[in-house]
Amino acid sequence: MIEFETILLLLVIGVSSLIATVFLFFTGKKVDVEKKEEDIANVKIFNTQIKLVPFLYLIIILIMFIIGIFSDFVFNSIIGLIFASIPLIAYWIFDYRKEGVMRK
Amino acid sequence: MSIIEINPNFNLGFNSLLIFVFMVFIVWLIILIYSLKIYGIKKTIRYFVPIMIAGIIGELCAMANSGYHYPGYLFYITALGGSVPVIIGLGWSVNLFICLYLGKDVGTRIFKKHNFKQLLYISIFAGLFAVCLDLLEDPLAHHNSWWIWPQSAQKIYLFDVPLTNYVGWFAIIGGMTLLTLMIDRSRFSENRKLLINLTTPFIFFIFLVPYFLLT
Repeated sequence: MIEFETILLLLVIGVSSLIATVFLFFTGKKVDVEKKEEDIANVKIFNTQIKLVPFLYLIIILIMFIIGIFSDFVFNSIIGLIFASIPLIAYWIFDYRKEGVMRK
Repeated sequence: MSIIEINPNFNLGFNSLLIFVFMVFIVWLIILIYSLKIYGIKKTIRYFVPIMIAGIIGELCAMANSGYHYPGYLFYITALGGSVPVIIGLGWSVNLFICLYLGKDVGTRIFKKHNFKQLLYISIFAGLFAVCLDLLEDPLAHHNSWWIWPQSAQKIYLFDVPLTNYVGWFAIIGGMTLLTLMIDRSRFSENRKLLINLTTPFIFFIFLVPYFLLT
């Protein structure tokens, strides 16, 4: 259990942060920013269609899947890999559609 | 309030933990360099530091109440009656960066209008993607004792992992994605965006107070 003093400290930090955030929010001047393309993180690796962030995600889930296989956790690793592949599949489906639109 | 501790029994008897720690650190380093190159230092701090704060606070609070723990790591942050490995904090920033990227990519292609509703959908996608990753990571971590949940008959478990853990992942990644994107799209100066982004995670403490008092 957390001590009462710690809870009180949490409350003080939380309230101070709230005050600071509200102050920063309402005293800030709005600046005109140049409208940039928001998603500029399209750095491709190995000169292919694979982009860095989805590639790293793929590497992470594959490493964890392999660890699962080698630690006698085969069934759950396969189920987990299926679930973890959903974001990649969604990404590739929409990425492929975008490429298709651009080609047209 | 918070100190860094070194565990002299690092990786003692825990297979595969070293691979996991090494993988998280390398991926974190690559993403950090990539973000610095693409977004610059201020935006990189905004993408990495608040989620580390929010993630570590969330972990410490959950540990203080449920009693799960992380055995065998090298560096720990000790506070609020719990100890969280430093690498877990770095892991949270990797999770946010990847889920935000994938969520943004999918979300903006489904909902093309540039409004709050779009941000909400992107955040929901990011949160769901985080849960998808967690469905692989957490059962494996529990099986290999990278972190251990005490089993209790009162809780609902999915693959030996408490259901509340998945809810927590969705809330932290979804919430931080929404916050980061809202600040991203605001028209404040970069310095002010950075300050707002750094102070906001601590507001969650207010919501934790009734949680701790009632449980």
